[in-house]
Amino acid sequence: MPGPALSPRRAWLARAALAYLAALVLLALLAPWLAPADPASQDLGQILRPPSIAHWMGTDDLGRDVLSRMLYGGRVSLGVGTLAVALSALIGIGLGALAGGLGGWVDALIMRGVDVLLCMPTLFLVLTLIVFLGPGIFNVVLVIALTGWTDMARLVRAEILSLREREFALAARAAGATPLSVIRRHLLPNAMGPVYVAVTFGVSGAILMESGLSFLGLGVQPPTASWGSILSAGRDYISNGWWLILFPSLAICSTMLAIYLAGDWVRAASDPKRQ
Amino acid sequence: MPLLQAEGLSIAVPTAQGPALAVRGASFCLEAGQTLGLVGESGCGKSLTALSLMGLLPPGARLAGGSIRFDGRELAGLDEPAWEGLRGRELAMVFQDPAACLNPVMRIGEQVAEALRLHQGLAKAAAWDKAVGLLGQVGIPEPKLRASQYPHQFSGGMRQRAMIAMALSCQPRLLIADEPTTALDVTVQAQILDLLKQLQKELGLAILLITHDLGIVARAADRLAVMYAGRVVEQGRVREVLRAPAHPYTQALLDCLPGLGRPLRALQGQVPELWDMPRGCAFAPRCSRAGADCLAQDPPAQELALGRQAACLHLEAGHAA
Repeated sequence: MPGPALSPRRAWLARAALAYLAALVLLALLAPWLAPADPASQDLGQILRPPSIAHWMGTDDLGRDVLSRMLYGGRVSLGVGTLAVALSALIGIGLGALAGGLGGWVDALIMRGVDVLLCMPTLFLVLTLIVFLGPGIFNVVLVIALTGWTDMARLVRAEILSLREREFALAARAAGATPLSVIRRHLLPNAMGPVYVAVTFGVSGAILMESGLSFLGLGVQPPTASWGSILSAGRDYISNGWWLILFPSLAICSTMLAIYLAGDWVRAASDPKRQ
Repeated sequence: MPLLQAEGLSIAVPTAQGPALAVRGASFCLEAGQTLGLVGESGCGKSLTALSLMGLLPPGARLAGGSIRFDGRELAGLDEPAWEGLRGRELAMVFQDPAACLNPVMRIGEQVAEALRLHQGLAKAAAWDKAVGLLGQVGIPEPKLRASQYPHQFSGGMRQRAMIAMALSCQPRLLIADEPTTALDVTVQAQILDLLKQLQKELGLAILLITHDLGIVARAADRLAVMYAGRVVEQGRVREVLRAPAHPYTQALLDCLPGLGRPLRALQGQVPELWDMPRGCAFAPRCSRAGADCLAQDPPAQELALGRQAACLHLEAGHAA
């Protein structure tokens, strides 16, 4: 279904958000050249210094430069977010399309699997899996993907279920297309609008989940930095080290907001009626 | 031998009261290069009949009996891969609402090219070029430009032309057109019917034209089969049937068409529900000529003349069994 067009104001916001995200990605990619210091090198003479010319975002409890840690942390947070969502979208779209498009026992099997995953609290599931697999960046990606695909699958299935009753699916069959090629060529492309939006939200959810896991100490392990782990380490110094809380929180919040605004643009851009 | 011959076609559909026959022993035939108009009111089973000829009955509905012979080959009971080989290649279908039948996020050219790639194994570029040619053939101006547009950029008539181009891309021998002009303006209707006629002449196509509009049949069909409550009650050459209908239902249909200098006569009553079919003739409860014998027995089709049949015990005046 075509959504409403973006108002000029929203379009402008969306463009600004995209530019911001692009800048973040660039900063993360160029971290090794941009960072003023090694993110892991400690300077015990410079503990908990507020932002200054030498350390734009101050130093942490071990005298590490927070700006450098933020830049390197962005790599982890953004990377984990996109990778996890790409993986979970792949699983979710594939299984959801099969369930909705083929129906019958395929549908029953996949959706009962989804129900089982959904009836367990996500955080509990994530924690159990992490304990089982052990902490670490790649396990975090894996766990977020394995627990996050269910929403995508349900969304895609619901879209496909309504689309396959549309006459163009019947017309494609009448032209000789097989059920699988109808799903792939006709149903899925029509279901993608809401999926793009769900993917953008998924990225922010995954970044948040990674931050949460790192906050709990189950995500990336020291001395590797992520926005969540910087926040987690900083919470003990909230009374005398505000910069340890402010910068990672700002980074996480602004990224969420930018992704949300950009999602609107992605939806509008993917709709042929808006071209 | 006719190209298409349906014999005693029965289709069962699920209803709230259990399975019921929506098509009950329909028989008709269609010669190559000819047009058969299948006429009836909503719910008489004409669309189900069409879908069964494509092997595309909706979930739950199934062929309960009868045979469909296409070019000497039995289609009833074919498996899915065999149907997929026939659809689009030998049998093609055009639907009622071209706006709903085109994929809204796919370029028109790609959609026309799809069947070519499926059935003729053409490469992408070759299929596209051929699709552009087809669009031109069905009378779409600037086919090159139009092929790269999306369905919402087409008008209703253009969309139906594109659908026809899709259906005819692999030169099928039978085209099933299910109310192809119902969703269109009257002037566009005439253009589409003319286009079908012209393409029929060029390609030697047999057309099964499903409609509820006798005017369209009179204009576009060679033969006519009238369906009522899942049965073919009368069939014959269009001109003969319309001039001198033999079945009271055909007569009633003609009576409720507006004409000059005579009163409109509405057909009283309603079509019986699928799960509550009368034991005798399904039309008897609404029929002015019905007698006690009509309630007892479902009248069989009688041959009135060569290729002219009617299923009635009390034929209209001027017809004798």
